[in-house]
Amino acid sequence: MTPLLTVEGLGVEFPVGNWPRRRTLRASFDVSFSVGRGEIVALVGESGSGKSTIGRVIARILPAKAGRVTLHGPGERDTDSFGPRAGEASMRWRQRVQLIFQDPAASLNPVFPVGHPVARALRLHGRADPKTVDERVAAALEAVGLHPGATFATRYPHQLSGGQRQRVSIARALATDPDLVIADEPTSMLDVSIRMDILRLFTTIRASGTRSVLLITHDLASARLVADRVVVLYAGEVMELGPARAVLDAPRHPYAQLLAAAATRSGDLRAPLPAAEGAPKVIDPGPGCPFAPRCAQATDRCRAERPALTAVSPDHAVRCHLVRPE
Amino acid sequence: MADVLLEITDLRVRYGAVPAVDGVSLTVRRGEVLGLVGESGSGKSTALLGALRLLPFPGRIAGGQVRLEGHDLLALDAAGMRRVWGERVGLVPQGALSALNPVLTLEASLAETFAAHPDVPAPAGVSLRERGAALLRRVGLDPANLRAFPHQLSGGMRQRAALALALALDPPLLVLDEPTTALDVVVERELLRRLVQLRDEAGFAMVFITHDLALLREFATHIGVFYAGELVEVGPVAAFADGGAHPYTRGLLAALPPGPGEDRVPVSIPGHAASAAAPPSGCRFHPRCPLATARCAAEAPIRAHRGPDHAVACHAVPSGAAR
Repeated sequence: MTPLLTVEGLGVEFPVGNWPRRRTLRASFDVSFSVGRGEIVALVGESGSGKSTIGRVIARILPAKAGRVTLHGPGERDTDSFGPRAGEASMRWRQRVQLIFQDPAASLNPVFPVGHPVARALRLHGRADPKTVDERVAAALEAVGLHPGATFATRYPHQLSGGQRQRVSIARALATDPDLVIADEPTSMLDVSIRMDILRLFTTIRASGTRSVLLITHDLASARLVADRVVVLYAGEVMELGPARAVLDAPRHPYAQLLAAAATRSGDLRAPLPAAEGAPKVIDPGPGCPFAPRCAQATDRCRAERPALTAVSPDHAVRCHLVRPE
Repeated sequence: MADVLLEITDLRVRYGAVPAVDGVSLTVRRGEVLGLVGESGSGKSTALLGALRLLPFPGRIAGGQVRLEGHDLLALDAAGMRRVWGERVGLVPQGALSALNPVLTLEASLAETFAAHPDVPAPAGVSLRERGAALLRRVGLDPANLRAFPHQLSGGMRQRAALALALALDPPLLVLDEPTTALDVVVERELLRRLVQLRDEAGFAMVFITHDLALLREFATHIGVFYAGELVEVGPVAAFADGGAHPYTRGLLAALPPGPGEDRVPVSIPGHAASAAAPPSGCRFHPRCPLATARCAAEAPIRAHRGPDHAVACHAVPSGAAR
C-alpha cells in the first residue's frame, strides 16, 4: 500500500512541576509507524499512553522533541521536523491533515450556527468561492448525514444532539479535502446507541480510497470493528503493531494481552488479570521495557534493556524480549 | 418481605417544573446487584439520588414512595437522613475527584466520616489510623496513602478511596454512580474484581449505575433499563442473556461493537435519545422503535410481567412467560 503518513522516531516531552522539583514527562518515545492511503489505523492504549499526544504532533498542534513526520505526495512530499514554519507551509499541512476532537460540544463555538465553521474551513483553504459557499456547506453537511444541509447550517450547536454535533465536526474536517483525518476518541462522549453510525462514517471516508484515518481510541472493540491496522501504545512507546484482527484477537505482547483480557465481556470477574496493577512510569522512566514492572513474565533483562521492535510476520511487530521472530 | 432493602414505588422526580423521572418502581433485596443502564439524561442517576434525597435544588420528589429497610425515607427528618447516609447506604458519587475533599488527606476524610456517626461503635482497641489502614487495604490501596491528598492519586486510586469512604461504616447497601465511566479498561476490570471480592466478604447489596449494558450482564444479578425518565425493562440478569425483551434493550445490545469471536454487524438505534422533559406521545421510544405501530404513538404501554421479577413496558412484547 502506498504510504500517506510515516512517523519516525517521534519523541515528545513535557516539563512537569516547579523548581526545584522540575522534571520531565516522557509522553512519547521512539514512536514509528505508517498510515497507508485509504487505510484506517487505530492508536490504542490507556490514559497516559501518549496516543493523543502523537495525534496532536501529527496535526501540528504540539511540537515534538525528536523524530520526523512525513506526508507523502501524490506529487510533492511534506516533512515536518518541527522547526518554525512559514504560514503557507503550515496552511498546506493543515489542509492535508485535519483533527476531530472528542467532545463536539466543546469543539464547536456556541455563538455561531454550525454552518459557520464549515464555511470558514472552505474559505480559508480556498475550497469555495463566496458565491457558492452556502451550497458547498449544505453539501458537506449532507455528506455526513445531516439532511437537509441548508437547514442544519443555520442551527446552533445547542439545537443539535451529540451525534449530530459530531457529524458537524466531521463535515468541518472534511471541508478542506484532507488526506488524513485524525479522530481523537470521536465516539466516547456519545450515547452508546448511536456510536456505530459515527464510526461507520470513518469507513465511508476510507471508501474514497485516497483518504486515510488515524483513529485514537481506548475502545478495543471499536478499533477492531473499523481499523485495518492497530498500534498498541504503553507509556508512550509502541508495544505491538499489525493487522487489527491479528493484534486484537491474538495479541503477542503481554501488555496487549492484558488489554484484550480486560476488554473481554464474558469472563469470570473473579479471575485475576494476567498482569499486576499499576500505571506506566512516564516521569523518570527506567532503562528497560516500560511494562516490565507489571509484567508476569519479566526477567532481569527486561528491566535492564529496552527490547527492540521484532517482526513476527511481515506486517506484525512486537516489542518484547520474550517474543521470538517466526 | 424481610430481605427487601430498598423499595422504590412509582417515583416521580422533577427539576423545578421539568419532569426527569416518571413513575419508576424498583426493588433491591439483600445481596443483590441491581445494575441501572440508560443513555445520558435517561434519569437513572436522578431516580436513585432522588430516592436517597441527595438531589440538589431544584431537584425534588414529585410523588411516589421510598422505603429503606422498611422505613419511609421520604418522611424521615434531617437527623435521620444523616444516619441513613453512610450507615445504611454508602454512596460512590459520579466523578471520584468530586467525591473527595481536596484539602483533606484520606485519613482526615475517613476521620470526618467516623466523627459524623458517633453512634456507630468503633472496634475496641483499634486506633483511627488502624481503622483507616484496614479500609484502604480492603479496597486494594496501600495504607501509606492515608496521608495522601486526592490530587496525588491516579483516577483508579481515587475511585478506590471514594469506595473506602462509602464502605467505612459497613452499610448494607452501596450505590455507585458511573464508577468506571472515566476509568481505563484494565483499571475498570481491577475495580470490578475488587467489588466482587468485597461483596463476597461483606455481603452488601449494590446499585450500579452505568451506560454499559454489556458490563452489567457480567456483573449484576438484576438489570433495569431506563429510557427518557422511565424504567422500560427490569428483571434478573438471565432475562437479558438473549438480549432482553424491550426493543430498546435489544437495540442497545445490537449497537455494541462485536468482541473477539463474535461476528455480527453492530446497528445503531435510529434518531437520538428522547428527553424526559418533553417526551414523545404514547410510548416514549416509539419514534426510534422498529416494532412501533399506531397504538404505540397513541397509548403509553404499562409495565407488564413476563416472568418472575421480569417486567417490560411495551405493547409489542406479550405478557406472561411465553414467547
